[in-house]
Amino acid sequence: MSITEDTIRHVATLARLEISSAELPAYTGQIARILGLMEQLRAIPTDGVEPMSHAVEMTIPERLDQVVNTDQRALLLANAPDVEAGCFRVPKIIE
Amino acid sequence: MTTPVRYETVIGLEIHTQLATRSKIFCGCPNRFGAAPNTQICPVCAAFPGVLPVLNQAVLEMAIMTGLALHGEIRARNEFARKNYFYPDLPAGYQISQFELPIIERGHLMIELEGGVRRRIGITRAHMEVDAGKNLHEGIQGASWVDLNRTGTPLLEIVTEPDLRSAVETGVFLKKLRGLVRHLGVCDGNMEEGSFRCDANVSIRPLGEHRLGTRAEIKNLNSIRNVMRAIDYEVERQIDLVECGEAVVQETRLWDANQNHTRTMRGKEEAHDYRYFPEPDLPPVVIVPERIAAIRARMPELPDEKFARFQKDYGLSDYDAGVLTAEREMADYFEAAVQAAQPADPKGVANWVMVELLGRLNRAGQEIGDSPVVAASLGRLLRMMHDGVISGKIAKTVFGHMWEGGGDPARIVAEQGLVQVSDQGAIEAEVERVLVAHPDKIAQYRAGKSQLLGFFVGEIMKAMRGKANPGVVNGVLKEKLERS
Repeated sequence: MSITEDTIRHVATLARLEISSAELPAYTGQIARILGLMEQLRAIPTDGVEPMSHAVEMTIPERLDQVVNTDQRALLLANAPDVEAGCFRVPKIIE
Repeated sequence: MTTPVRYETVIGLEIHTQLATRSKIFCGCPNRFGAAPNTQICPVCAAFPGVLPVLNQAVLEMAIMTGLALHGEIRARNEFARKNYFYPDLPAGYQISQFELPIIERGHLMIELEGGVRRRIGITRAHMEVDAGKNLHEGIQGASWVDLNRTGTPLLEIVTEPDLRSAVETGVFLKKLRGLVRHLGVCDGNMEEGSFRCDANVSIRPLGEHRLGTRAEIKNLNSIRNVMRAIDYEVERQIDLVECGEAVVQETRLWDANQNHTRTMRGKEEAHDYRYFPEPDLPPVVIVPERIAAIRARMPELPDEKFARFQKDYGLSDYDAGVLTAEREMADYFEAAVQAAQPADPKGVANWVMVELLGRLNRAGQEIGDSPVVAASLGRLLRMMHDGVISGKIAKTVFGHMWEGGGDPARIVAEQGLVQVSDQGAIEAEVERVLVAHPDKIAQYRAGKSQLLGFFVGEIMKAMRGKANPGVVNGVLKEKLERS
């Protein structure tokens, strides 16, 4: 997979990262090198190996279906930059 | 001149069912609709740094149960994944969902269409995921408000194959699926409150074509009726486009129930790059066969199984069995009534439930669970009718009293003196009185006007306040009339 400046710009947009045009060549080069490193792994035969998604061999813990939390709105809203009528207040979302 | 092209409609659905658990999927907040904004949230819901999700076991078990009911394969090892996108109702910046390894795959649901046609609708997959919060815009100046109460509500998203061919089929399918999840107790099926939501992928193609046409995804469908109307509209719109030589564009469209049309929802399209990856905070879900067997063992009888059993054991018609098994409460009511009515014919019980009881419930706008007449009482009433204690006509009167004030049918019959009179002597005396009063009618009857029999029966019944055993009345009357 070849990495172009367009790819970097697209990924930055998706991740809501602001990257200036001046920074683009540097990031493009660095990410291309990281992916180049990954390419080396292709040399390893992996036929019949289950794809791994987690480094630790464990299965999911479960909890009982019980309500244990009570209303803590005041506490949770205390950290919000803007609050109104018991809600988080955000810039108008255009639908 | 060319023959006009005929089109086939192809529909696939994505249904989001909110699972009816007590608590949310990944935290111990209540899973309940309608609370004051942000009063049912915690640091997990608000995605505070450092929080970790812990799976609610009831979510897993309800997903497995639904998968079994849909004849699907339960994936022994399935995984949660992150679906990344930014929106104010999603504080984490990602939705925890399942992507490559969903819990359920390759199921199906049979639907019954008019004329006894049965069709198999494939279920591609079903996966567990978390619901987002809610943005509020209306009447708010220069801002939007975010209520995170719904965040963390467990969802099972059910995806069908593009197997549906019309709005009608889609309506039948949704009713059946909704009935099924309600029956299993995994979802309340309330479309208006959003606990059962449906998006429809609609496309058309010339009849006989095997490749799929370009589809539009329709959202904002809050009732089965609206799903059907939106499909009808969308099919017309796509046929018009194609007939005018234009192409259908793949896009998301919103149904507007007030204007009766779908409109494009531009803007969300470019963001359809969700960069799924395995959820690092949740290890794989491993389900052992013993667990599946245990869940299967405690599942209620499925509507299709019940349908077949009602036909076989009670001798019910397709239609009757369908009505009585559509809802679990209805089926339970009927069976309890049959039990109490024994040895009366179950078909008679079915008639009473469907005509007398459902008729009154519908007129009152009530559900079977609201019935003032409990199943055992209705059963006892029908038992009394079967035993000849009361006539069918009196039974209806008694049923009316039971509906008004509840209570035991035997007590109502005793208190109101409604016991049927089968005594030959008493009936003969009454018949005699009526005949003496109408010599002209007797002459007409004997001259061949046989329909006058009904007149005599009516007079006798009136005189005996409806309590005479109709069988005995008919016998006595005929005997006296025919004897010159």
